[in-house]
Amino acid sequence: MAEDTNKKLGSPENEEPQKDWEWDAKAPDAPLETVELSQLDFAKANEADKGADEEDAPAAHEPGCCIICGEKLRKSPSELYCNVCREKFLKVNYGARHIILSIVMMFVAVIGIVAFSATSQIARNISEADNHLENGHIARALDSYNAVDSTVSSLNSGFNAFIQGISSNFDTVTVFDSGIAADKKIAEIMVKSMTSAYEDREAFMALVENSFTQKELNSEKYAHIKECYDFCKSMDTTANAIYEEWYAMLNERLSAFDENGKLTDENAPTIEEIIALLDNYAEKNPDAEPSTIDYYKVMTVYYEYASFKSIEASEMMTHLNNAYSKAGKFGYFYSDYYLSFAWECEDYDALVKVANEVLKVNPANEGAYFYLTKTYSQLEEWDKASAICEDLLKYNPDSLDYYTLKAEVLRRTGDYSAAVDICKKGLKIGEDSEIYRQESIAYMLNEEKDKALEIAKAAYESAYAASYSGGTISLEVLNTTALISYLCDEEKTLYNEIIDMLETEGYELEDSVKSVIKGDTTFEDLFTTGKGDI
Amino acid sequence: MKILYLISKYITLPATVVKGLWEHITCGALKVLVEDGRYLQANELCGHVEHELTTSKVKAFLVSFIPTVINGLLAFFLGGAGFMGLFVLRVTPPEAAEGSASQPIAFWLYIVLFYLGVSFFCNMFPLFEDAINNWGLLYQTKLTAEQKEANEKIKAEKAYQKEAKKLAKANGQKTPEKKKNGEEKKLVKETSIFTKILLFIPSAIMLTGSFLEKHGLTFIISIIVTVLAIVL
Repeated sequence: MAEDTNKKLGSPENEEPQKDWEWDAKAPDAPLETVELSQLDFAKANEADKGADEEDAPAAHEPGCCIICGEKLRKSPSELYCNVCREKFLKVNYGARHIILSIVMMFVAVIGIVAFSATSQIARNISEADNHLENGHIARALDSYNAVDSTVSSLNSGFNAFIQGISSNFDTVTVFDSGIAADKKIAEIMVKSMTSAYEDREAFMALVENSFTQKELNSEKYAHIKECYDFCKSMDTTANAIYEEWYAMLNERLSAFDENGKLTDENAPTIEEIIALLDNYAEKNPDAEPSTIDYYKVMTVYYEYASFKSIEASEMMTHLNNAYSKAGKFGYFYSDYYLSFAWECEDYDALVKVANEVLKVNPANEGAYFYLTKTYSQLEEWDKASAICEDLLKYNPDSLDYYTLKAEVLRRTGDYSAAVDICKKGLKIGEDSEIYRQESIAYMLNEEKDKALEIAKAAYESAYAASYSGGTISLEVLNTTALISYLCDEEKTLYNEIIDMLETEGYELEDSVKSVIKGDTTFEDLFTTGKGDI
Repeated sequence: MKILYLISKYITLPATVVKGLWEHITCGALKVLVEDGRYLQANELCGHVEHELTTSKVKAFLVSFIPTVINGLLAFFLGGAGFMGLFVLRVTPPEAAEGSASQPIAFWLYIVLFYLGVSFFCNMFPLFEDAINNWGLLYQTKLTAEQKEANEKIKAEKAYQKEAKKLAKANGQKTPEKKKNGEEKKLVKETSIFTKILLFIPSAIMLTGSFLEKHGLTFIISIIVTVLAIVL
C-alpha cells in the first residue's frame, strides 16, 4: 500500500483510461497510512453519506477549504485543493518519453527552419525574376531564374558537405530541387528569345518536356509554348534528316579550295548542286519544315562567303528572306543572322523592319537595338539612334552595350566630352574593352592623344584579360589600339605587338586602318563618316 | 463534430502529441497542476493535458499562449517550407530511377514538411475551455460588491499604516509593527486597460482558433487550402 500511495495518482501508468474526470474516484485513493482508523468518525461519515444520498447532490465542502482534506486552501492557486493535496495526489510528472519526444521535436524544428530558409531563398530568386519579367527586364529575369539553379546547387553541396562532415560514409544526395515553376518561366522567356541555333532548340525542347505535362501543353494557357515546341521539333526533324548529307557535300566543296580561295578540284560539288540537294529533299518530303531548308541554303552560301568571299552577300539575303518569311511568326529565330547580314549588305530598310518585328516579340533583344542604333547612325538620324539607346537601357538596365552605342552616337554627333563621360559611367558598372575603345576614340577625336593612348592600352589589356576567362579579343579592339598606338606613340610598342599577334594568328590589319596609317584618309574620317567604325 | 475533431487529431498525430507535451511543460514551468497527463484520449481532451483552471491571469494566458506560439512557429516553418516547395517551386516527384543513385528527395521532404506543418496548424490552439477561461479572466472579470468593499478596507488600512509610520518617524518613536492576524489580504484588481489592449489580439485569435479547432474546422480549412493550392 505504501508503494501505491507514493505513486502519483494522476500518472497515466496507474490509471485505466477514462473518458471523463471522476472527482469521486479520487477520494477513496487517499493515503491510508496517514489516517488512523480511530481517527475516522464513522457516525459523522454515515450521516454525511446519508444526507448526500437523500439530496442526490455532490458533497458540499466549505468554501476556501480543500475538497480532499478539508484544510484551508491558504495560498493554494487552486480553488479546490490545498497545496499539500495538489502535490500529493494530482501532479503528473514528466517521463522519459516526454524527454525523448522533446529532443526529437528539436531536431524536427531545426530541419524545418533549415528547409524553410533554403526554400524561401529559392522562392526569393523566383520572385525577383518575376518582378524583372513584369518590368520587361528579360535579361535580368533570365539571370534570376538561372540563379535559382545555382542557389539549389550551393544548397545541395552545403548539405552534402554537412552530412559528410558527420560521416564520410554518407553518399552524396540531392535534397533540394528548383522545381518546375522556375523552368516554366524560363521556357516562357526562351520562347521570346529563341534562335535557330541547335543548342537553343535542344535546351528549349528539353525544358518543355521536363516542365510541362501533355495536358498543360494542350491547354490554351500554354498554347504558345506548344506552338514553339512543335516548330522546334519540326526544325529538328528536318535538320536531322538532311544534315549529314548536306554537311558531307559542303565539306567536300570547302576542302576543294586552297589557302588563297582558289578552287583546286573541279569535281567538287557546286553551290547549285548542294542547294539542289536541299530542294530535292523538300520536294520529296512535303512535311519538312520549309524555313529550315532555306536556313541550310543560307549556311551553304555563308561558309563560302565567310571563308573565301567568292560569293555575294546579297545571295545570302535572298535565302535568308525566304527562311524568315517561311518561318512565319517564328521568323525571329533567324533574326541574329538576318540583322547581321542586312547590316553587311547595307539593306537598311529590311534591317529596320525585321528589328522592329523582333522587338515586338522580345522588347529586350539587344541585337536588334545594336543594329538599329548602328543603322540610324549610318543614316544620320541621330534622334532616333539616341532614342533606341534609351530603349535599350530601359529594357536592359545592366547592358554595357548601351554605353558603347550611346558613346558612338555622341562622338559621331561631335559631342566628344559627353562620349567620354558616358564611357566613364559605363566603366563604373562593368569593365569592358569595347567601352574603353569608344572612350579612346572619343579622346582621340578630341585631340587628347595621351589620354587616348592610355585608354587604348586599357582596352587592349581588358580584352587580353577577358580572353583568359573564355572571352575573345575583338578585331575592332586590336585594330583601334594598333592605330592609336601608331598615331600617338613614338615607339609604337603596342602597334608592333599587335601586328605580331595578328600575323601569328593569320590575320592582318583592316584595310580602313591601313589607309589611315598610309595617310590616305584621316582618323576623323574613319570614325565620323560612313559606318563610323572599323 | 466531435468525431471530426477526433479524426483530425488522430490524422495529425505527431502534432497532437507534441501539443500535449508543450502544454504539459508549460503547466510544469508555471506550476499549474496537471491532473491527467495522457495526451491521446478519445474525447475533447485529445492533444491536451487536463490541468486545473488557474485563477491567475498571467498563468491562464501563458498556459494557452506558449503552446500556441510554439506550434504556430513550427506550423509556419515546416508548413511554409513544404508549401513553398510543393506549390510555389512546384517540385515534382522524381521520375523512376534510371540507374541514377541520386534522385532528388526534395519532393518527399516537402511532402513530409507540409504534412507536419498542417499537423501543427491543426493543433495550434488551446483547449476551448482554457481559451474561455483566459478570455473570462482578462475581459469579463468584474469585482463584486464584497470584493470592492474588501479592497476599500485594504486601501484604508494601508493608508493608516503609512500615516502611522510617518507620525512615528516625526515623533522619533519606533515604527509600529503591523499586526499579523491570519493571512495578509491582497487587493483584488480588474485587468488594466493596457493589458486588455495588449493581449486582445492574441486572446481573440486563441479563442477563435480554439473554437475552430474544437469543431475540426482548422482541419477542414487545411484541406481546402491544400486542394486550392493543388488546383491553382
